[in-house]
Amino acid sequence: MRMASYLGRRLAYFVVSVLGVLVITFVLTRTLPGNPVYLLAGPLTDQEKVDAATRELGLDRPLPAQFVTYVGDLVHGDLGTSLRTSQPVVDDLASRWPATAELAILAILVAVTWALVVGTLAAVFPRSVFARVADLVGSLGVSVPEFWLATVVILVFFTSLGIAPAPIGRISGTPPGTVTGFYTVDAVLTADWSALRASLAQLLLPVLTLALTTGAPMMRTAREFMTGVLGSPYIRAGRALGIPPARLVVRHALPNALLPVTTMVATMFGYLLGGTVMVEFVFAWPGVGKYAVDSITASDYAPVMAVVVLSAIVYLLVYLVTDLVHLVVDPRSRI
Amino acid sequence: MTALDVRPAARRGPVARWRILVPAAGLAVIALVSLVGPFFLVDPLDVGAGEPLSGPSGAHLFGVDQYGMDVLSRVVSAGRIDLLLALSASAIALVAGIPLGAFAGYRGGAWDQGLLRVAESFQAFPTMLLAMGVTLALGPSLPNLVAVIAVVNIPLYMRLARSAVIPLREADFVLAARCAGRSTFQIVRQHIVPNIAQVAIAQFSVTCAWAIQVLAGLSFIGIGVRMPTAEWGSMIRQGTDHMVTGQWWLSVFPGLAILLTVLALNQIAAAARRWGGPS
Repeated sequence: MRMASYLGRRLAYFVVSVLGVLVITFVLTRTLPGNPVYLLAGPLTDQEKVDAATRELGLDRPLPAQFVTYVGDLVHGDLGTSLRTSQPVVDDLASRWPATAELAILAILVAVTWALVVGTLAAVFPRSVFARVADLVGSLGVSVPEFWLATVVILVFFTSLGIAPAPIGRISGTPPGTVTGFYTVDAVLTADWSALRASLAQLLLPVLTLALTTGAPMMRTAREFMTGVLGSPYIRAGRALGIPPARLVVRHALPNALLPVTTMVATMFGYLLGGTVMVEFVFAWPGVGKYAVDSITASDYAPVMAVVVLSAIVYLLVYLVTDLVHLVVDPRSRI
Repeated sequence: MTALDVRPAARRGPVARWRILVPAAGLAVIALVSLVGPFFLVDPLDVGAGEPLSGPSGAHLFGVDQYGMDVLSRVVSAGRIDLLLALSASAIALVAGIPLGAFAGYRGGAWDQGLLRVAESFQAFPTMLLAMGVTLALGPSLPNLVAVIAVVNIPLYMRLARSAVIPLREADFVLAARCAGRSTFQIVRQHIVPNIAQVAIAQFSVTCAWAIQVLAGLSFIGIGVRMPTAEWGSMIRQGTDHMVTGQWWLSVFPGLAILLTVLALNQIAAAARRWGGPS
């Protein structure tokens, strides 16, 4: 019963937040420079044509009615047309999202892994040199702008050492046959091993950049939480009972630290979406982020606003799912 | 695994003084250099300062960019604009966000829920993308950039103030003031806001750090501070055209400037938080 009411409240929050997001983007879209009426009516025009264009665009109707149209268009997948590519924005996004998803998913996996391992070890050996180095890496990782880190890793690993490929996008050579749109997955499915090698090589530097910047705050959270857990009475009791320290950490302490880390992953997801925009741009990665920046450069605003509104909605969805997962995983939330 | 340290984590010693002095001194040096440095260096906009794309040398410590402008002089004068914009944006966010959040937390009920939902809606956007959207809507002038960075940070202060106020709402001195017939506005201003100053200061430092990163990010993608004005983010962008050919000094030095400034601000915040936290 309690669980049902919590679930209902949580879903209601989600709907309200999505509405709030839509109101914000609606206002931003209406304030954008460049009068759409003149775009439609043409430069040499009279008042009559301007009025007709205004009516056609529905701009003479009251704002709430315009808002309903705006939301309706979004729901039907009408995100406008890109002036730069002269394609519907939704089609442009559909062809680009696998590039972004492949990069982001891999980055978050690498980030969570190193954050948990390093954070746990630093909590277990708090006075070691390792913990101090972890501290330093954590502080630097949260302070470094990811677009600058991206240029530095290119300088070091491509320009100077020559061990990474040139930053020219997802793959050099021919991409594997399309199955899912994820080059690494497609390469495995079509048994195209040279394409797998080539796409992994291209992924190396952007994933490294994003994993370092998004993993740093996660590592700090994991470390802080593990320190707290390791000092708690049940761990001391376990130690007094003679449970080997390694087993105590892995079996008894670590599962408790996973909950705050999942929340952290959800929070970092929003940051990751923003960071991917910059990193894709530096690595000429043909994903959604580069699409947004290229559109900004061309003063083409419909794609930018589409990316802005979709990123917020995706973030809210991820957060909702995280909360629901907590509900299932953490027995305390069911009381 | 020789020793599993099971001492309680909360029993930390007092914050070592150097933890706040070192970053504070670092920040002071950065601010001082940006403030007075330009008086001693060549004009950051002088395109005839040196041979274009020549590396660091005795005459040009940080090298020369592709237009012949001195990189050291540009990094130093960019510090003025970055610090000034970040500081004013964070100050506006603080002044607007703290009272709003304090009011919401103190009033409770529909006001609280309403304001909280608004703040949450803003926070649903990845900061960088919201900043991009608002910058496009307002147009990229300097005052607008300050406004953008302030807007994306106001919800943070609101929620911070709100959660600090809720435990104070039923505190004896607040109840006493209410009994004495003070209005909500007076109570929030006189009794609540001074009590949340400490969390606000720690947050201010973090916001400044964030503001510098967002400003540099916007300039990097071309909608923030524009060439030829010297700004760290746009200088890094300038350097990306030349990094694969090895002219590293164009983007490495402005990036280091951001890194050191943001690092100092973050460390100050961490120390301030620990100082105020439970010891």
